[in-house]
Amino acid sequence: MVGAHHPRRLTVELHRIGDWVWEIPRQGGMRVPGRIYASEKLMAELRDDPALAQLANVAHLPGIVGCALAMPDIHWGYGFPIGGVAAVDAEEGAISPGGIGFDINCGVRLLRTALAADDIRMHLDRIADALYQTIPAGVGSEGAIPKLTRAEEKQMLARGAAWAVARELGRPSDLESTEEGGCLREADPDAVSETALERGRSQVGTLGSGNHFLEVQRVDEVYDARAAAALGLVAGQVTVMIHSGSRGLGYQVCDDALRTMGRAMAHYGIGMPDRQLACVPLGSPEGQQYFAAMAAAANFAWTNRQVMSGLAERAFTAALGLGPAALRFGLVYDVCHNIAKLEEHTVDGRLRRVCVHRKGATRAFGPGHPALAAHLRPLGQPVIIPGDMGRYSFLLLGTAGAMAETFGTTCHGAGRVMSRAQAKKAGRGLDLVAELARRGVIVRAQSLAGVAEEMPWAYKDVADVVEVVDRAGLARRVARLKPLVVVKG
Amino acid sequence: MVTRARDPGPFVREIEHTADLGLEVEAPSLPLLFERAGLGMLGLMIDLAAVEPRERIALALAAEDREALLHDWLQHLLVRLQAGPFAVSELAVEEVSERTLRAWGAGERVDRARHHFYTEVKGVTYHQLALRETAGGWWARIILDV
Repeated sequence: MVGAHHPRRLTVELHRIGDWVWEIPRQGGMRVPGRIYASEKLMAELRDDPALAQLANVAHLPGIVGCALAMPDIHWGYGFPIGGVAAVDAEEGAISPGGIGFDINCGVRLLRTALAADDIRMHLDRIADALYQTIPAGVGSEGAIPKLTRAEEKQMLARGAAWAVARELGRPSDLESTEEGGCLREADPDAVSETALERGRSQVGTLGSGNHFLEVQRVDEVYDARAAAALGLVAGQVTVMIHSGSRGLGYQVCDDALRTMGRAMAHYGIGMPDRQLACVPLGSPEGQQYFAAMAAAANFAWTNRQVMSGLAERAFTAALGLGPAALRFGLVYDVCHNIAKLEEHTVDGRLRRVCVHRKGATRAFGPGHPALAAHLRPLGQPVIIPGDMGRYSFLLLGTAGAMAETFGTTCHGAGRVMSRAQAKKAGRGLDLVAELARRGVIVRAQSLAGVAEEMPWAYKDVADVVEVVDRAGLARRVARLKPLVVVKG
Repeated sequence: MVTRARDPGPFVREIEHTADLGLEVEAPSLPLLFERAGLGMLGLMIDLAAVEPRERIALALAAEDREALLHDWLQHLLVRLQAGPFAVSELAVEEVSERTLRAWGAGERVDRARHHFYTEVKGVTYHQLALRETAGGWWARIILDV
């Protein structure tokens, strides 16, 4: 990556090449062009954003194939932009922890219930309290899963979500509706450092803070009734959405790898302008070690979300006095949006094995893909796109278009427009809880400052983002979900 | 010298960054800059006013250069807070060179009943990390993933 510049100083040349696609032509050390999916409205906001220069930096990655891609929710990250996608050749390409992020397998899952929103409206405060009490936020909390022994933690890292199912948190069928069945087989718990293991030991089943949340929602609008019905959803139904990741364990795996790779890069003849862009050949010992540790962290995240699904079900039971048969919790799907995966894709007419980095981007495999469980294969992969906590989230399905254009990838969320400091300033003097209540949303949160940072005005309207991927054929809309209760760490 | 959480601040200034949390720190000396950066970051994560300096811990680090040392220092304090979980409200950097640092911190184990948490910092990034000597002392910029 020699020759790339500080993002703020790089002027990016940009051409519109389609109704929803812009291209940054190859220049300098870029190995491939950059391509951004956006509407005119979103591009107007993006034009001077450092994220575009960061995308040009991604195009320097050794072994990158096709294009460096950006989804419509692209925004300025550290190293890679958030909303960035890079596929590198599995044999000759480089892996970059910055292309995945600190929160490895940060992701979202959507659970359906047999409840109708109209029937529980009177009980929402009680449900909110029960969820807030049952699901720990993080550091220092007493979790439902007691601090694990080293041996137990390693077993969990090897098994993924099935480890939680074996402890009666959720049900076996949930695994069929989880990306990779909730377990990357490449995981090697011995590749994870002692510090990372220590950071993870007491955090299984904890939500975390920042933009992580648990929501109780109502299916507000259905765009494709047949697909929604096939996924067990109808208008007015209650759903639960969980957004969380690999907690301290994943963060430490990323930090460990940045340190190791920062030192090893010179050995492989790779230079870069920003230490956060550190990368090594995927096949190198350092690359393999990171991949095995990253996969273990991904398994931690799936376990974490699976545990919280089980806890959410228990909270509903406690609040409503209803058992599993009446609640009928079931997983619609679980996606990860910070990960690198070995996949096969057609590039320039040739089937190639590639390592796809998705940082703030979601896999969106189309109908018929062999990675999908039998019940999903006719539909395509469900894609869950959370919005900000005052508006709505979306359920979509992956498409053949995504397979052809974006390595089977689509957007991951709304994308921030305001810094956290700006968002707090905008919320100063307002009663944020009352403001959300006015919008019909009950909030339970550890920190009011945290709520201010995540207020709707800090984000793009996720509907604008989803419209682009729908129109560009990178996923298609199935349903819109409105929050009733938001629990934040 | 010792920097205490209750000393007049602010120790750090938030700078604009869309997704993450950017901080700027200034100090007349390098040890003070490390102390301010450390307590400044921790103060964003937990209410340090309630953290009593009951127990003293020794901190020693080595890194390949001064910027990496600052990164590792903050990362170390972050890990102590999240994994210990142990929070410090006093920091004293006794010696800091180009590549090594020796310090102590005073604080206590996290008690969820008394300690109030704010934003969770996931990691200290290397993105735009900078540490420079200025006319008035030292200046640093750090971007945290939150």
